[in-house]
Amino acid sequence: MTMAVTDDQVATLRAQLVGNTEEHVRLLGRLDPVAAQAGLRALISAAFFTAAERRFGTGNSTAADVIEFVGSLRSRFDSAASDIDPRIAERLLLAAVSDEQISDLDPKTSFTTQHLLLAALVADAQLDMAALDEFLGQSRKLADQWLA
Amino acid sequence: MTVNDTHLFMLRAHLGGEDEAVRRTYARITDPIAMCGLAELVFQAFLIAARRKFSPTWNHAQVISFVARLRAALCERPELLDPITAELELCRALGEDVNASPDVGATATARLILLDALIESLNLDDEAIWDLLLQARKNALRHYGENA
Repeated sequence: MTMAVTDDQVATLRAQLVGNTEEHVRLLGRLDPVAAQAGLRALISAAFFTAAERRFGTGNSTAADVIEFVGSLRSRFDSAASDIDPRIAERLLLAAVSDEQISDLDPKTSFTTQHLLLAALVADAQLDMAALDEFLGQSRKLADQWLA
Repeated sequence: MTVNDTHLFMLRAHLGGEDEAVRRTYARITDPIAMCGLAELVFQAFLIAARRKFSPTWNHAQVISFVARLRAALCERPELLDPITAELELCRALGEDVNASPDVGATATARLILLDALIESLNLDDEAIWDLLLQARKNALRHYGENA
């Protein structure tokens, strides 16, 4: 059976990325937990790779830029400092734009870190609503390819 | 166990980027126990430099940013400095009650690289660096005396 990302899953991630926590929690509660497990997770990972590629895949970015981004993110909040392992975060970001291998990373830690980084990447990009929808559309396409 | 002039000159040469002088001195130290004096000197110098840089007021964000900038500046070999070990060592030096990294090698490397960076960021002239190292030796000898 082919699975695809649903509109509700996109709306759930969108609510989170615009900082509408109440709506995010409400939509998250409505999702089918089994389908969401695969669909939403794929969407979040795809959005992370899309955002990382846009931020660091321009050709001018270096590993130093990735290190400074992760350092800047972790220094913003105490919780981010403890929740994000810089070694893992840097490798995930580099994997999005280079041949960095991440198959040895724990999948759960990897996903949690991607999720945290995604929020920061989108916040830094300062997308307006149209650009956010375009970004989510591209991420959805990528996630659907992964799920197909 | 002691900290002698050889240790002092070796560390000064290292901080001055005099790699050949470091290699020559290192080759003369054949007793592995003698290296412990150098490690203690590095540690005490690191404590002084860290406190001068960050005290009296400091926060985790400053420590994280300092380590991230330093690793970004290490260009193609940021893995030389483990970020978590470096942050832990700085926090411990500044009086926070945190556990040391179990990786002794990574800890020693972190102290040496951080010391180098701290001294550079403090903009110390030659005389001030010698003063710092002499103070570090005094502290190391006091430490040995207390633990004798």
